[in-house]
Amino acid sequence: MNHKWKVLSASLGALVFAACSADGEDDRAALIDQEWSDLEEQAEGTEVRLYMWGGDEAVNNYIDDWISPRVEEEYGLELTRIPMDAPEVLQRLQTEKQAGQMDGAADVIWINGENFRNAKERDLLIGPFADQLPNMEAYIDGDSLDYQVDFGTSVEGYEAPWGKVQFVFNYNTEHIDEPPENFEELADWIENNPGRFTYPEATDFTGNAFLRHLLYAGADDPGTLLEAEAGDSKSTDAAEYMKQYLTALKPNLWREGQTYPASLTDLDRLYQREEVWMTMGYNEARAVNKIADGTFPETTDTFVLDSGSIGNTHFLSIPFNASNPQGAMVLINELLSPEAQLEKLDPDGWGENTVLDISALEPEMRNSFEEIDRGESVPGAEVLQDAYLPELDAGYVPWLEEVWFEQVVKP
Amino acid sequence: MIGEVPVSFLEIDRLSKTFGQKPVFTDISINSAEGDILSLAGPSGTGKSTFLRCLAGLEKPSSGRVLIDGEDMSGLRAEKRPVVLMFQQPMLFPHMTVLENVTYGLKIRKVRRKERTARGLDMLEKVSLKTYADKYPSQCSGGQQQRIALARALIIKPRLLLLDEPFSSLDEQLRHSLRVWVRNLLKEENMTSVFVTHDREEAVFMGDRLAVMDEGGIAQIGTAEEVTGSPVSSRVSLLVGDGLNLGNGFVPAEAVTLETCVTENSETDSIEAVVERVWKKHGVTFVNVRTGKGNFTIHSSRTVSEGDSVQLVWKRSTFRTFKQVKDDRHA
Amino acid sequence: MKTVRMMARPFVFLLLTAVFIIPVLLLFLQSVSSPWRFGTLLPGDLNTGGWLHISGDPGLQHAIMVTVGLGAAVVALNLLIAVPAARFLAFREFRGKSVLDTILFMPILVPVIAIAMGLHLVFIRIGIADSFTGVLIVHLIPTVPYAIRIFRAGFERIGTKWEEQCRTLGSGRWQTFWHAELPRLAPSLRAAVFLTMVISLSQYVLTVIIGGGRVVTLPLLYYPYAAGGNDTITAAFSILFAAVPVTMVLVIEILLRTVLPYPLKRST
Repeated sequence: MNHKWKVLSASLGALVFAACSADGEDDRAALIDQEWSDLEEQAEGTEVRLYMWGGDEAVNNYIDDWISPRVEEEYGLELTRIPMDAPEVLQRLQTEKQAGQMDGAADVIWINGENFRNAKERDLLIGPFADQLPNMEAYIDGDSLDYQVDFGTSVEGYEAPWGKVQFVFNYNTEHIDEPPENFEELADWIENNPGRFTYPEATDFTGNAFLRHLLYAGADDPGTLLEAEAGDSKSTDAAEYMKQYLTALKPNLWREGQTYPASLTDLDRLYQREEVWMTMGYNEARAVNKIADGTFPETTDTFVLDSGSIGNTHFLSIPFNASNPQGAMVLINELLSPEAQLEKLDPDGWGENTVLDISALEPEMRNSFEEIDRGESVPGAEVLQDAYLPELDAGYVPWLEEVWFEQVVKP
Repeated sequence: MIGEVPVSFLEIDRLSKTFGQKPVFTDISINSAEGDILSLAGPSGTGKSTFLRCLAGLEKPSSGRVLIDGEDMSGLRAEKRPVVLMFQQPMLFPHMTVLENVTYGLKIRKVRRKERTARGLDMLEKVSLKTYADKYPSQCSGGQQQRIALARALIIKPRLLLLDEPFSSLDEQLRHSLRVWVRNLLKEENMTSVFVTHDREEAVFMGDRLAVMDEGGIAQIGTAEEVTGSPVSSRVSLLVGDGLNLGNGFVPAEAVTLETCVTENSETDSIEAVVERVWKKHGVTFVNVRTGKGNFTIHSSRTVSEGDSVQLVWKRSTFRTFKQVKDDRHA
Repeated sequence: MKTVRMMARPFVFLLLTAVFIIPVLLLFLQSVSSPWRFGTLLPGDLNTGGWLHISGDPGLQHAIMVTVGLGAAVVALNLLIAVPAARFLAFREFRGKSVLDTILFMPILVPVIAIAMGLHLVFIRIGIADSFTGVLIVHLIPTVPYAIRIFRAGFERIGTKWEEQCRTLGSGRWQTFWHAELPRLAPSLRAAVFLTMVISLSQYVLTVIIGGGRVVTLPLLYYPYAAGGNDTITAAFSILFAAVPVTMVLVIEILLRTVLPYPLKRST
């Protein structure tokens, strides 16, 4: 018995030692710092594992049915999509970092905002890689603020943009002839149609974004908020407008503002049952999919307010311990290719806006992008571009949650 | 010594058991011949059950040995001993048929199905329950269940059968008929048995010999007649004695007569008593009287009624002094 | 008494229908139709999209196999661990029994995420993170305490007397278990198999953290949809989900009936 224990603890100790002494991080970063043709060569015939949120049928189909066969054919890459949320992926990476585990399961992760900031701060990413991607260099406007800053955190090549969405409102044309053009008109409409509007709680991703739009509307100029910090005098002034606006709205909201939908999913359900006549969300094309899968009434249309629509960019990155960083590079580059981005724009599929600079494309390809009809309910590119507002620093999110709860819900 | 038998098939040698610091029984020695039924009587809580469990191997004795036919049982686990213990409850497996229950021990011993069934049916025939072979225990009465349990025990031909108050859960009438029946079967099978009961009448009826267990030891052992007719102590007399307990000695019941008026006689002794109750049983009148030494039941042909003063009379030569007087405090 | 029972029967039937059958039917209807709209009684048009989608998911068949294999292994290990442990806890008295009892209950009380994080580190060090073995072991944590409780109650109901009766008739421990105890433990066995299967099947966080996406089970595919609000796909998945433990219990039932030497009808 005693002897057995000794052997067991000795071998355990050996394992721990082996795990701790495995220090291949530098090598890992070096692996991606090669000529592109070498990377492609090394990636051939390997498996690459893409970890991404798996709750959207259209997104999953895009990867499984279009990207997967394509990378197999073009690069001999075997793509495996794993449905896992970014917070869980990061949680695991954190522990693996602690344990010195360099044989990571994930090669590519889908990430942005606060998750990105955490990952970058804690060294959970492989390092700057985006600038080495040929498609990034050729088609993406690297100077665009969208791609340099992610919710206030500098990107610095630690992640590559994959897609972007803009915040829009959806409404039912059967009940509303002319959608409101600004927050004042929206308030009037709500007053005339009591119980037909609500928004998700501030703790919800979309609900918080709705509040940020009001914050922008309350600021003299969008620029002031970008420079300000959550909780300082400028942002507090802007929040005052938000507070008064929402408080005035309250009696005419769904259930008289006594309760709010806990998530966008809940709000969409209310809209689907026509209990409310408006919903909202990131992704200007969301109505197309929702109508197609039968969730939204066919009479759904989309509008943005003149005061602006926040754009949200999402990115792809490579973990510090990716087992196949070469494959990851090749996959990400392919996801940024004009062909893949064009397919992604297809309203019958995912229908999401491209991150590519269309003016940098070959004329033929540019035509294809311009000719694509994103669907009746999607606002035109010009409308979206005019309304575009950059995402605020991630620090605003918890601050707004608090302000909303203390000053809007409680009184 | 009273009750010594020449051949000891079952030899219990100075068996003791303590739970922690507390002794349950101490230095019990009993010898029994093959085919003998030994009744073990005594008040509840004197360790009779623990004693049986030690014999069966379910409990480990603190010291002492048990030998069956000269073979020492001490190292053997319960399942390896040629001993079966029957509990108060029939403990029939509810999910098995009567036949499956009876042949359980054979199945464990890897006896073939065909032989098992034949022997099981034979055994059921012996307990007159052959027609119940395919029924389930829940479809049988309490008495039938005990008979099935007995068949299940006997079929594996144990060398020693232990019965721990097997009739106590049955009603009186059933108990009476069953004990005749069980005794006959045990005798027929020449089964060496130890039969535990706290019922004096049952102990006397079932046993070839009778042992009285009290306060962690065997107070007296012998033939039923020896023990009931001349108890060694007032305590034994109280537990199983059949006669008049006079505190310092004992008069067997058959030597006592009930008189209404007494003629002084140098050969007889007497004691005063008051009639408490009169009743009839088996066509004989019984009288329960209260004496200064306690109550006593006697059959009498004299007509007496409740409340009458009477005399109990016996020949002086029939009086036996208790051999152990120290136990008198219980009298 | 009899009349009361006869009167109660249709009532019980109605109750069962209301509580179990109708929701399952609704779920099925939902899985083949477009989403409900407020104010309408019947669901939307026939829509096989939910089933089409899940049957078209390339990982699904593999995930079902992994889930069933994992569930079966979890159930088997649970029985191997819980039956002897429960027997011991039910029949033996020893010092520290109540302490052991509390320790055994801990995994149910402590949040699963707290366990997962600590174990992930340990599993990486002993080399079973991101593996089937690791997930299998981690699934024992939320299941074994329940299995032990169930079997313990079963053994306590049977009592020690039977073991003694069997021993004195000459049967060893294993024979006693096989012939006298197991047939009467059938209700506990069913409950334990079903419960451990369902618990294993519903592990999301533990599977994600320990399996790391290398062990993909049904919940990994299903939960994102449930959270994403696609009712049609969620309903189709739910039915698939329910089918797995039900099939498992059926298999066990058939196994019990063929392997055990006694009919189960009178096992109580």
